[in-house]
Amino acid sequence: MSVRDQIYRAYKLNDFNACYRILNAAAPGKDREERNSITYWRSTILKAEGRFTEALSALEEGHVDFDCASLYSLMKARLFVRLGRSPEAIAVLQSAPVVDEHETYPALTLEAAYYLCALLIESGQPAPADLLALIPDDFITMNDQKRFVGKSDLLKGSA
Amino acid sequence: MTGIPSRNSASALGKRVAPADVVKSGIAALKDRWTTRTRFSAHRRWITWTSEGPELGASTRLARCVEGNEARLVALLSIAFERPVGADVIGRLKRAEADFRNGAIARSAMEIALANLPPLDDLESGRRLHMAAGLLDLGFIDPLTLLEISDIDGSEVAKLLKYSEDQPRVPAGQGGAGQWTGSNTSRAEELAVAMPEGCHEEWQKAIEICEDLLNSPNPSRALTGGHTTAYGCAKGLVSARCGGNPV
Repeated sequence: MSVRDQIYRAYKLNDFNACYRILNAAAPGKDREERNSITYWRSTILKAEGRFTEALSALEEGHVDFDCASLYSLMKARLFVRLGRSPEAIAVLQSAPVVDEHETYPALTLEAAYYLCALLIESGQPAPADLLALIPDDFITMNDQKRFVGKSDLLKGSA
Repeated sequence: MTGIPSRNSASALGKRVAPADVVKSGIAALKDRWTTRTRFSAHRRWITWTSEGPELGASTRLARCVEGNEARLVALLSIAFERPVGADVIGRLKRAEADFRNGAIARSAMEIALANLPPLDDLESGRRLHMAAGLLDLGFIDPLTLLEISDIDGSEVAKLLKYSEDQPRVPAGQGGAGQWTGSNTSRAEELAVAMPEGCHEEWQKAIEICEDLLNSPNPSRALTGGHTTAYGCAKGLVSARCGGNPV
């Protein structure tokens, strides 16, 4: 059984010890997707525990296995924000191949595009027109404060 | 009711409005979105509570929560039904929201039924509501002006506004116009979504699970539902209590 299949239940129950047991027992070998999943979940769980620096290190250690570079950048940016390093969060997302990857990973690139636009607006900078155009009007996501936000929130912020 | 208010009619009333090009592009976007909505969104004949607030017509969100949006709710219902809706509807909506938050979905629907509002049957009413809600969302107009220029008696809305005159409000021309705002609240707090206890966390976890699933060029359709957004995918993983898709 893959890490992904085992970890969802434990994570939903906030059973982080069980999550670590699953991750530590995993033997992904040459399975890149499995290795990627382990990195993703180790970083996500560390973040959920508030261990942001460790989450960042775990993410960076496994970054070569990410299929979607925009997701890697997005996760890194979210951690930078938690660590109070917003300029680095903006920089990492600005160098992410969001537009190039959009066709293959529409969901993840939209999340990355939205996050970058929100960070730029928050810091008083304009959101890039190409990224704004990429985001559908009815796009909804959850921000760092666990609030649902949409494109209109970006437009309001940039007005 | 003469249709959707124009910028000129708002200007004629001396109200502050957004620049013409912003209004124009905003209205164009609302019209485009209406085409998508009629194709893909459920038509709600009655007010239906969801995790993101009450919806009506082409799943148009009336507000994110009742508290602080009383004038907006009464104005939008008046626009939808083309007649002044009494402010007493707010009591029912508050109870419907509380029941929804407590997971008492049937009781929530019963409160809506007791509000004695007619069903919103026709597409044109749905379109009118969609445009009006969009104009308020974009901050082009406030609830009272919306009624004034639509030739609908706004005294009930004015009454609601009068109750909290001391409380600061988002001015016309800004996002969330006419809605109450606390002096120390951030935009995120103003946009707080009324959801039952624990649902925000459930949604967040579902989105994280979806991001893992979608980080594959060929994600399992059975798990992601074939959605192209993390929110759409997460909706299939979140419980119905929290606004997820019913199993």
